Amino acid sequence: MGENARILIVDDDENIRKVLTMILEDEGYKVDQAETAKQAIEKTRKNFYNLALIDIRLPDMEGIELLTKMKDTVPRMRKIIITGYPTLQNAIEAVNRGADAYILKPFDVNKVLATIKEQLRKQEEERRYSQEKVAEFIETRVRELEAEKITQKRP
Amino acid sequence: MADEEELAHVLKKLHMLFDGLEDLVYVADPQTYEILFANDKFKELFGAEVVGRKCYEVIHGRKAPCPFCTNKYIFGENIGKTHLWEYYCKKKGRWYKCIDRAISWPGNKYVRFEMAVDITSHKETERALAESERRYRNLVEAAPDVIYTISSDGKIVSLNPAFERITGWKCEEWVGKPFVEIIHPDDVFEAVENFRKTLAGKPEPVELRIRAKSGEYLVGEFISVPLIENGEIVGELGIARDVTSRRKYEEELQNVSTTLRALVQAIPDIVYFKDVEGRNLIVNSAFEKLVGLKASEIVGKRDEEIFPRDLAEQCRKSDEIVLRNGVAVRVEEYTVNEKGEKRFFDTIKVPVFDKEGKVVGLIGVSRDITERKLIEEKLREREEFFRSVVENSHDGIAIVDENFRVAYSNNVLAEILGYSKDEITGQDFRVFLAEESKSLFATDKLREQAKQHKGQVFSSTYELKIKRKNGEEGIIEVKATTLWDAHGKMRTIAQVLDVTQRKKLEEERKIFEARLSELNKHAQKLNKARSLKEIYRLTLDAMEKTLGFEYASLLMVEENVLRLVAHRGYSKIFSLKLSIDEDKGITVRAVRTGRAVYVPDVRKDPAYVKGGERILSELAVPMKVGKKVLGVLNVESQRLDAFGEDDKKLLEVLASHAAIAISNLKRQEKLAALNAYGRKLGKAKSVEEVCKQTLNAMQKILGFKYVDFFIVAGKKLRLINSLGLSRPLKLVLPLDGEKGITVRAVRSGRAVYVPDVRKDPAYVDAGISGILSELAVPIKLGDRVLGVLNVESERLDAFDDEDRRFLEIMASHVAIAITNIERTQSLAAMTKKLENLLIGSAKIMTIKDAHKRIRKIAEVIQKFGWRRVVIGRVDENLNRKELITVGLTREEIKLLRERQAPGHVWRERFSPAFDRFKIGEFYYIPWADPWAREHVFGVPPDMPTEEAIKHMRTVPSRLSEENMVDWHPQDLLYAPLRTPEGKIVGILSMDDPVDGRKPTKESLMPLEIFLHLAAVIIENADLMESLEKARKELEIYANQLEEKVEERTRELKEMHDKLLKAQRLAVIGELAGMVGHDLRNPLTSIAGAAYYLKRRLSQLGDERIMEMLDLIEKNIAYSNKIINDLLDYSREVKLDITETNPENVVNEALAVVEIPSNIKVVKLVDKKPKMKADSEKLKRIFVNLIRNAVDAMPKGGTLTIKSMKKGDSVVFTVSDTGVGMTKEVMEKLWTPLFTTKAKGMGFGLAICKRFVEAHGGTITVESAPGKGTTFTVTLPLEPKMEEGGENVWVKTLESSLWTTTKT
Repeated sequence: MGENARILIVDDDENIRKVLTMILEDEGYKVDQAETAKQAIEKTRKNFYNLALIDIRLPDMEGIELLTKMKDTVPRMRKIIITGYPTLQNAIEAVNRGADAYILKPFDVNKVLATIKEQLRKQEEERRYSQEKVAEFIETRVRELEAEKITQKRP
Repeated sequence: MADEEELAHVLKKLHMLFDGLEDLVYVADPQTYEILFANDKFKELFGAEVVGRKCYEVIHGRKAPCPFCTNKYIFGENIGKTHLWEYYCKKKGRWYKCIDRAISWPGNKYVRFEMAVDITSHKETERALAESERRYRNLVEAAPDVIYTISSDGKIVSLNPAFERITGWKCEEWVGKPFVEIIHPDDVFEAVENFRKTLAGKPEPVELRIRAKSGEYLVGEFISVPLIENGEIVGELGIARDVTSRRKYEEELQNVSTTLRALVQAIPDIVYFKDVEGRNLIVNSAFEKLVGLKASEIVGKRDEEIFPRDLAEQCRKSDEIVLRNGVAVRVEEYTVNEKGEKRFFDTIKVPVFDKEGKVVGLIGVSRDITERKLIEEKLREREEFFRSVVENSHDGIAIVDENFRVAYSNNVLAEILGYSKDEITGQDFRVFLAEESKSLFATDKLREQAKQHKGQVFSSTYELKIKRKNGEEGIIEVKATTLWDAHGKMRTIAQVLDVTQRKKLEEERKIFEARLSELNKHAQKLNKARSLKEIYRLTLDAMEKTLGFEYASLLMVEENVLRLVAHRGYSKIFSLKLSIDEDKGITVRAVRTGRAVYVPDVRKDPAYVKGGERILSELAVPMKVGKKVLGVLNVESQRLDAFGEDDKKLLEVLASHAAIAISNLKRQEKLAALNAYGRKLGKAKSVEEVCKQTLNAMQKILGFKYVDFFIVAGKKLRLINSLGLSRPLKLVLPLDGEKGITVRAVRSGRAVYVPDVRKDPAYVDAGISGILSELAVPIKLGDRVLGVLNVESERLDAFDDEDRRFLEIMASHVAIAITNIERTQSLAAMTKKLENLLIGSAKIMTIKDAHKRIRKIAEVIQKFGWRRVVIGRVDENLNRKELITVGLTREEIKLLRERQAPGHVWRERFSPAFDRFKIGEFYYIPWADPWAREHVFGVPPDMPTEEAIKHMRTVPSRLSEENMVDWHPQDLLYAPLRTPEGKIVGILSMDDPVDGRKPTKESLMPLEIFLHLAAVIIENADLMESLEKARKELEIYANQLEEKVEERTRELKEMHDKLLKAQRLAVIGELAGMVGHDLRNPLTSIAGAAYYLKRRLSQLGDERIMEMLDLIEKNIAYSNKIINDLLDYSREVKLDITETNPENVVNEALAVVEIPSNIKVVKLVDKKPKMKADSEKLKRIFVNLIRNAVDAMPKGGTLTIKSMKKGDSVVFTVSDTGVGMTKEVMEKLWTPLFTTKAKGMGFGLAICKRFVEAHGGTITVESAPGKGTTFTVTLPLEPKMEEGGENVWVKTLESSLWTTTKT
């Protein structure tokens, strides 16, 4: 399932985009890139992504602000913040604004891959859970209706 | 066509013209009666839609043409004629004048044109005129009198029906005929004349006889007016009334007796004939005159119509009697004219009978008796008056006839002559005269005189001697007035005045006046007399020579004695002294009573003092000035009752002259003596001396017995001295008290005289019994009363104005003298004070010691008249530091120290609340002030002074109130000693003034110098003291200063270096942070790339490639570390405090570091104590230190980590047994980026130091090369958060970097 996941890299550093794309494509992900926050918003509007890697600093907007916006437009999309030097404040804010995880620069590629995998797994779980929920609801409702029918027949 | 157009145009214009008219206009066809045109006014009246309708229908509401249609008047042969008629419109209730006419109309035809003008108002007028004419006509026709008109040529024009009725003629018979033909021939002339007058515009009523148809003549009364037509007189309009019957009656009466009538008219009395109805039928001209009416106006009228009601009534009454009873009456009647003047009438009314003897009327004759009545009245009044005048006259009155016999005499004359009235009447007046006066009135002479003045009134005055019945002679004054009576007989009225007594008195008066004038001449001499002796001599001269007394003597009052000082006429010289208090001597009685005493027979008077001569009568007259008796003039005679009233009077005059002369002389003497006294007084040196001299003068010059001298001292009046008393007297009277006449003199500022001290409750009995009167005169200068001169006497009312005046003169001398003395004394005192001031100041200046100088000031102040002086030095809180006292006893000083007020009390005493006590710079707190008593002295205001002194806060005075003038011994006087800057450095207080007086601004002025002087001295002393202290301190300080400067310089340099370094480091840190941060991105991509390569190339199995890639990754990690350190170092340190303990800290650090096996770790770390710290930071510190230690021992060794509690801190040591460091290395150890290792730690220790210091701890190092290194970290149990210490450099590192990236 991970192999088919779509990932958006949002970073103004071309080198980083390039390297990450190569690595992630090797891993079987479908990778797209955005240089600015604006581009990122456009792309998320047009296309579906399972996950986005977002640099904390972007030329036109703070990464955290972008997070806030995306939280409303693409809530399902997993968002990972990439930060140079995490402080407690940064981290808290990132999570509060809707980041699902953060990774440090310069990153350990293995760790990055693991984090991505983990997030995608969580996403899948959530999806499944919500499907189960719907099924469960329907089932419960049916049972209730049946019970009602029975009670109606009784008197 | 053109014609038609023109026609239309003309019509239009016409229509417009008609529409503008106020009148109604319409045009109608005469054949069809159709209205062709109607103007607006017409339409207004009959409606808008009238054109085309029938005119009769519209205007008259008819269905067929009107029977009165006017068409016939304007058409046919009448074409071109105008027909006028009037028409009454019922609808409107108005009259119209209609103008009808045929006019040519389009269509070549004639039409009816009618214009109606509203004439309603005109019609109305006409109708009213007709009505009035009708009425007038009726009036004329119906009039009872004949109304006629005659043309100017004398022809009758009109007559009314009354003419026919009265005359029997037909009007037609006379209209057009000359009027004269109907007039009685005898009246024609008059009638024509009257007619002419009327034509001339001056009509007059006239009576004319007219011939009636029957032939008889009728009497007519004609009233006419000119008949005017067009402003011209064209005839006469008249009314004629038939008066024939009246005239007839008159005539008849006239005919009765023409003679009677003539008679009646001739009588000057009022005559009238009244019929039984009371109508006056005949009146004569006197009657006419009386009532102011013509006979014609009176005749036929009753009295009521002529006279006022009350007058008519009086006549009516008597008329009635006559007419009813047929008897004649006589009454007095009166009338009153409009001026209110009364006229009286004597009236006789006689009845008139007809043939049958029936009363038909009465004849009245009234005679005007007004004049007579008035004269009678006057005469009666005159007579009454005359009689009362004569009878009641104070003068004797006689009437002497032409034969010189007394015709009348009144009672007074009888009294004067001593005869009775009867005896006098009828006697020749000369009988009563004495012989010498008789000769004045010889009969021939009198006759001659009468002849001369025949018929004239003349009078003359005589003084005559008479001989009374008793033979006495008398003198009378006679005013004789001779007049002539109606019969030409002479009458003499004599007014007689008895002047006998007066003459006698005049005679005596002359003698008296002669003596008096002699006396007065003498008086002038008296006034010029230069000595008492001369006065005595002159007085006796006057008594003897001028007044002619035989025995004369002069006695003078000397205190209680009357002493004989001079006498005349006595056979031998003698002396006499009589006590005034004893009842001995007539003269003494004169002194005591103050009045002349006459003893006609001395033998009967026991008080008479017998002398050498055989004296029988004595007259003693006091010599008085005002009430004061100076002496007595005494005359004696050997005759009984030898002295008369005149003698007394003259002697009194002389006595008063003498008294004045004596008193003047004495006054002059006194004044001279007073002046001498005053001059002497001017030289007096003391009040005591003034007092002594004054008291002496009061006794000797003014002659007072009891004399006192008082002086005002403060609020008391003190008796300084007195004379006349047997023992000295002490007397002090409060000025505000009720006691003492002298006190009253002080208070009022005027002399006070008490004639009877028993009646005055204020009198102070000073122990002299028998004092009865007192006179107190204030010693005054301007308004200031200095004292009182007082005199007393054992006599009642003993002092007079002169005494007061003399005393006042004296008092003013005293006042001047005392004031002079005061001035001299105060001048001397001032001089003395100034001298003291100068000497004192000079002395003060020469004294060096401050204490002594202040003492000197106190002493100088003492010399200014203050027995006790205290100067206190005070600190800035006004608490006394030092006391300098002068004139205080040891006990008082002790008391002063005990009771001295604290500073804040003094502060209050200098506050504005005390401003009212200020005198200059001094504060004077009077004991008498209740507020001060409570707030300053600290005792209740009502507590008695003796008691209060024991409790008061201040030091009591030893002195008693008695010794003071107006200062109270407990009064307080103090002043602040202020420096020129106003700072209070001391307090001066003083009391017990030597002069016992309240201080004044003037008296304190000189002392104010000392206030400042003392202040300056104290301030100088203070300054000197502090200067000395400062000097000593300075000395010590100066010694230390050099060291200190050095030390400080060093410190400063170090600080400076540190600062520079810190700044530099700050910049470097900031820069490093930025650089480091930006290195991350390339590192990231390198790391990514390396990973990728490693993944791809691992399949190749090339060991060397893999090794290289590992190397890349390792160095990436190292670079990252450096960057992180750099960022850590440059970041602000923020502590995240949690509780931990030393063991935890060390264990966490050891867990991180890989310790090579060749290194032995010795851990001597305790779990205690608990400490608060940022665990993460501590971990990093110790990781660092441990790593350093490990790095320092590449060949192995021992790492020892210890911890121990030391006070409030925990001390950690991390020791190694490694290479150690040189001193140079150690010095730079804490500097960032300094490292001894090839790979270096860069920021490691620098960060450690920062973190330790952020906790408020210290980190030190001990090392030597080859001997290993020990780091000691001391951390407080609880970190002291140092705010702002290293609060550092790059706060928003990332944003600044972001900014750079962007650009």
